[in-house]
Amino acid sequence: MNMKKIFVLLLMLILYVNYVMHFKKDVTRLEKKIINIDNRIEKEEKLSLVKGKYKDINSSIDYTYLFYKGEQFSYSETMGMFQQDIQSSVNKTACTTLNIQWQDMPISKERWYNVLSLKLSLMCKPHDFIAFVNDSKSKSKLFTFNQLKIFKDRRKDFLRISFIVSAYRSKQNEN
Amino acid sequence: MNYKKYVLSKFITVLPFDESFFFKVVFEKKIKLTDTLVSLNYKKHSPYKNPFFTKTMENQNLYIWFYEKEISSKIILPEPYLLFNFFKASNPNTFFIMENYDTYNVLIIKDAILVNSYNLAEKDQNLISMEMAKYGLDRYKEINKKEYLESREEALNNIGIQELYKWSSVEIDKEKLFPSLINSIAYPLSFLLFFTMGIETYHLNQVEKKLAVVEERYLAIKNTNNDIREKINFENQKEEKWIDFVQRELPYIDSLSIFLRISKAFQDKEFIFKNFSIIGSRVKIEIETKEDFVKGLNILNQIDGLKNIALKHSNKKRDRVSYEATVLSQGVAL
Repeated sequence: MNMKKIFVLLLMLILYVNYVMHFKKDVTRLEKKIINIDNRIEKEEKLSLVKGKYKDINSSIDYTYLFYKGEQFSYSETMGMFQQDIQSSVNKTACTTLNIQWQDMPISKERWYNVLSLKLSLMCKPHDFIAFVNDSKSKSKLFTFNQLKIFKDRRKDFLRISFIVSAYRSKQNEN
Repeated sequence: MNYKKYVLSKFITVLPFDESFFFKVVFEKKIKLTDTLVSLNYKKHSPYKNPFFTKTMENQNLYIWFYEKEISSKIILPEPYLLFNFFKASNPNTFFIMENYDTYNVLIIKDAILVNSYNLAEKDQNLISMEMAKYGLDRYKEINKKEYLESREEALNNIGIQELYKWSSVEIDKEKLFPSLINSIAYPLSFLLFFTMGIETYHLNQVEKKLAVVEERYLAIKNTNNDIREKINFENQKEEKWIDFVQRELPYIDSLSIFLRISKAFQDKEFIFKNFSIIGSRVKIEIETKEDFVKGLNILNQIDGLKNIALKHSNKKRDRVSYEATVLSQGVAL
């Protein structure tokens, strides 16, 4: 055997094994990465083309004006304001408030708002109740009505109406 | 010239009829004979002085062809064997005489075994008859020069690797095989490994360069879109927030709207509400009327936002009828 040839072959084998073990990189992975980045560039280029469309979006517009402000008022304060708003709608009509009851404050850490709930019992004629509904809906705050129950009262043309009305408070102030 | 022809011409020498002498030995069973043994035992039968030979063993038959001048090819294929191999399947019991320029080639096949082959200066009918009688053959085939050359060409093209190997003079020395192999492949393999490393490194370098360029390009275009992306993300978050709110708090059409729709639909004086409730999506109505309950059902069916309308109870004596319905979920519309 030619020792010089064997030495060269062994040297190359050692070099190659070390190259494979320590220096060889996964080119396929890099090529896939290039393809992924190319796809992302394509998306960004498409976004650039429609950039003008998004400039007109006014991000300051929000619907939180529908809520009582938790940043300024505590839970109790907002409940009081809410009750006043509802009571003012009742007072504008010939409805009589039979009962108002604060519902328990729902505690939910997931939600970004608090639900303010009042249980209300009214006695009024049908058209007065409709007037109450219309007045409460004309207010700037959002009210939702649930568990509506209407019974005929003993007095002629009068209804007894009970329902839960809910309003919403933004959650920044937890007091 | 096709590839096979090129290989045949480079590595094979066909030993012609007229330059060789055929000798055959039949053994009781198949044995293995070295060249030295063949030379010692059968060299004396050759008409040449200090002959060379090529041989093969087929079953119990040892076929030897002696020749006078040394041939350097690794594969020396006797022409008689080539033609015997070509004809034996189609003519297993035949006396062949083939016209070859100014001489004649004789090939005698019996029971698909080569019996004899030689070259004649001229065609002697008596000799042919004697030979046929000697080997018990009754089939005689005369091949003209053109057919002979064509058959030879075709036989050479059809010959398989196994047949060629039988005639190969290459002897493998197992002890020397490994060192010889190492000697042969050391430099080519080293070069191949070096070349592979070089190519792979170069390719990797190119890919890494391309990756760097692409990443840079992506960062640049991404930065130009950052403001818009932030805006879009902010709007998406806001949208998700409000979708969540509507799904939780406003799943159904507002109760008061439903109440107003129903009371408007029943404003005819023949219907007097005695009881009305909306709890969640469930609507319950109790009405005092002298009308048939079907009329009330028809009215309810025409109201938007209600489904699953059903008669709950009907009392003709007290003129009471009650219905149930479900409020449609309103979905999200911001």
